[in-house]
Amino acid sequence: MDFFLEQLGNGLSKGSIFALIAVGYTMVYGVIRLINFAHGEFVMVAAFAGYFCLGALPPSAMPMQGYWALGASMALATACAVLTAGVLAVAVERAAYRPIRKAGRIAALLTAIGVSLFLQNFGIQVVGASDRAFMQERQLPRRVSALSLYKPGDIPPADIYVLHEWPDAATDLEIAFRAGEAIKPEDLADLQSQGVHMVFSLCPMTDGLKRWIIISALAACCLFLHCLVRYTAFGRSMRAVSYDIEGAQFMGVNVNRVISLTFFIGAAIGGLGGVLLALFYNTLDPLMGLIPGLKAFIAAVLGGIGSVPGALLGGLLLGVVEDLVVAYGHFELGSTKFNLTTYRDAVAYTVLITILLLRPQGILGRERAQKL
Amino acid sequence: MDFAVHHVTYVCILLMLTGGLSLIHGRTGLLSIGHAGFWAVGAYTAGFVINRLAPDLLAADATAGSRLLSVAAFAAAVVCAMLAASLCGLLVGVPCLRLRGDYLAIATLGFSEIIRVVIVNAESLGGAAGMRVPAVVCVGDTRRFVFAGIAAAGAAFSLLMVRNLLSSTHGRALISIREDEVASQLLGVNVTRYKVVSFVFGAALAGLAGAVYAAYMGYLAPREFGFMKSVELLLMVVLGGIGSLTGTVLATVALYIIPEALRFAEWSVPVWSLTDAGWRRGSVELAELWMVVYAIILIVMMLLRPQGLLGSWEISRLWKKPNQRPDATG
Amino acid sequence: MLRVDSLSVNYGAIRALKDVSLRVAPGEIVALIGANGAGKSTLLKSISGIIPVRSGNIVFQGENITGWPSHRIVKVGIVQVPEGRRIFANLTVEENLLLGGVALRDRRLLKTTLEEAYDLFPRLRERRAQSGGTLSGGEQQMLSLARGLIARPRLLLLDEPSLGLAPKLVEQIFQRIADLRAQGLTILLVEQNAAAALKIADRAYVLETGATTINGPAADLLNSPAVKTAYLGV
Repeated sequence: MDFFLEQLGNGLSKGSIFALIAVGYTMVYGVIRLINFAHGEFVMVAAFAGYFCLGALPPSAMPMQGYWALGASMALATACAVLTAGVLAVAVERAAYRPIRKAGRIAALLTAIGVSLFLQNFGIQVVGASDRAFMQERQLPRRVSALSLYKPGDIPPADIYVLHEWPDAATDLEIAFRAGEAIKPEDLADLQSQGVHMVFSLCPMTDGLKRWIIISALAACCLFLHCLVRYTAFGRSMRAVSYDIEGAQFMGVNVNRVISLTFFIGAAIGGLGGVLLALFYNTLDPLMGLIPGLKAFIAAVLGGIGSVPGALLGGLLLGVVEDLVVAYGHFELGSTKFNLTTYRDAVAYTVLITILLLRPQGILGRERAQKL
Repeated sequence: MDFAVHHVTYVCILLMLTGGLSLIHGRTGLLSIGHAGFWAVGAYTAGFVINRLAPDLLAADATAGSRLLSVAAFAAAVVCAMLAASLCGLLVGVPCLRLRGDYLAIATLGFSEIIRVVIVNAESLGGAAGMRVPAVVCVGDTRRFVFAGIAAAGAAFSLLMVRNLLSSTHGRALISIREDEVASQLLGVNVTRYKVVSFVFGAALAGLAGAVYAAYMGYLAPREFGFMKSVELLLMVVLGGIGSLTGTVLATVALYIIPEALRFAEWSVPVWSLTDAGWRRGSVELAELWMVVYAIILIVMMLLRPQGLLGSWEISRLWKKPNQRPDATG
Repeated sequence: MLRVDSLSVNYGAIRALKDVSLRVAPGEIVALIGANGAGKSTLLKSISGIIPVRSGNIVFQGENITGWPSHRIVKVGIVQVPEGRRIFANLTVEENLLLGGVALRDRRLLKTTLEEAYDLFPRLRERRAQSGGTLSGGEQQMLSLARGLIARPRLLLLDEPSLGLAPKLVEQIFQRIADLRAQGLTILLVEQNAAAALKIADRAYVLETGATTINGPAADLLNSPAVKTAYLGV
């Protein structure tokens, strides 16, 4: 049961990230019927903006101490990421998508693929292809590396100790810890007495904390989007444009502005997803947007593309299904052994094809008559 | 010289792929961004068949009989590869072709990714490490020439088949589907059947390309058949001119040669890069920037000329007078 | 109030309007009649800035509005009630009305005009929380008209307001239009139902294959033999 809950938590936090990214796909598709292939790259650019902001304004540069400093620094980095993604999306829409809006869906999709390729490869040129750790030790308030360096009793005091990386050699230890897990101070001495050589840090972010951050970010975004779409003039205009662009023009809706804002908001929320993605896996590179982007798109299709609640639901569902397949995917049927644990990436695509064939409008989507 | 022969072979393999894709995309308006999936199916089927039938027929002391057998094994591999790929085309085509343009694109992408994941996980296909394919047909100095010939014949066959298919009644039906699907349905064109036929045929040509590739390279790696490959193939078709086979051929050759030529030229350009310590000036070879240039070409092309460089112009118009083109009743 | 000077509009290669000129004076109802495909809706859409103009000028209250985006045109006071009503089925009745007032910056003003609209069409108040798609045809036409009025137009463009309505409802709609004019609104009316349109209009234009052929006081057109045979079915 614990294992199940653990997997569920993991799946939910990954699913939340998918959901945040999926919102951008679904909003843009809703208003202009474009599969914005470059959305995953907006997410990537946002993560890098957050990373460099965190590097420029580390917690040590904050006027506060400890957790507060880390929180303030993270908040600034997130704001920077969100704004960068939004501005980039508006610029891309303006420069590449608006001129071809009437040229047809295939031309639009190809342009989007072009933008995606451009951002990936431009990113590789600018920041290099290798991956980086999002939270680096220099950004952490205090750290203890290599426990064995300290004499028993000399370990610096901290609120919480997190196991950074679990060395392979230590798997047979009695005290079973996983990387990213919090360790109580009293257990540290115990580990040390067993002669463990491992890297600890006083990173204040356990995986559990990350999970809570991610899930509450999703909840906040849900509330924000709900209010935005339901109760604001912009939300009304957006729904009107998605139903009938020309009809909205008759009403005096500034369609171009609605589309720009839709891109901005979708990408900004995706940018938040990008920071959380980098935080969750503690890694980022110029191609990091591709796979999560595709999966988020699948989540959007699963939930019903064009529907914001659908994207949120689809994201969570996809995250959980993927994780459970990996966790419970090895079983025996008769005498044949099945092992699906390495098929993680195929799960999403299978879900996609199944949903496209059985219910192309998705779980919450409405069927739309083809306009002649 | 040897290098040139390799490039010719590779371009011919690409032509089989883009020819088939041109049929699928250029003439029916269907967007497939999973064409490398069919290619992978062909290549791995051929690799598997050759491994089974001709593990080491061409050892140093090979007899004339075993040489003949290895040719037969290659032929069998080609047939199996084409069958397997068209079967996949049918499998994807029949259910997915009811989907509209951009959804179909995503479905084909999903399919090709599933293929790749399956290959990576299948031990009998070498998994992520890749699969060795024993030499067939011939070994030694003449080998590369023989394979250049085989690839050229394959490319010629593919392009001719695609061209004939396009100028037949079938071709006109396909064009009518691209122009207006609903109207052609009303005119009695069996839209689904034509779509499926062109899809299966395009897949079969990809299978042929896969078989030649497998036998020629002698080694298959799953990452070769990824999403990027599909996008590259699609770009060749799109840049050349949607619906123009001449354009597809030119774009395939050009988009293959340009990066190779850049690599050869070794031009370096100054670039700025962003490190943890801030901006830093450096330089990079132009060949490494190719993908950036490539993406820019695609975007600019879509903005300025969404129908592709040549549009639907064909080289045959140079020697055909307009009034000799087949009329609607023919 | 509105002056259209030798306007030409193309649909791809097809010339949809050729050198069309038209005047609307303040307080008038001007009817635009003509067969299907004569270019009536095209003319209204180009006035509203939805279809780009090829040549010619559109001048509203002394300001040249040719080529302006549609949202600016709504802001200066030209509002169109489009053909086929174009109700947003995914919005409630009230949201549809509020959307009509998207050009109004003043929220208090929007609130009062909304109340006015409900007073004018009490039926809509009853159904304010209902989805726009669930209304009957007549109610949808009411909603479409009310939505057009929310933006406080100076010139109202009505495109086929009677289309698809039962005769009794048609009468009601035309009564409403006459009432609106009595309150001082200027109206440019496009109608298939030429007889009904000419009865309430002051002046009228006949549009044939993209060009104006006949124009004059509505009463004259009503009695003109050419118009009678072609459009009144007499």
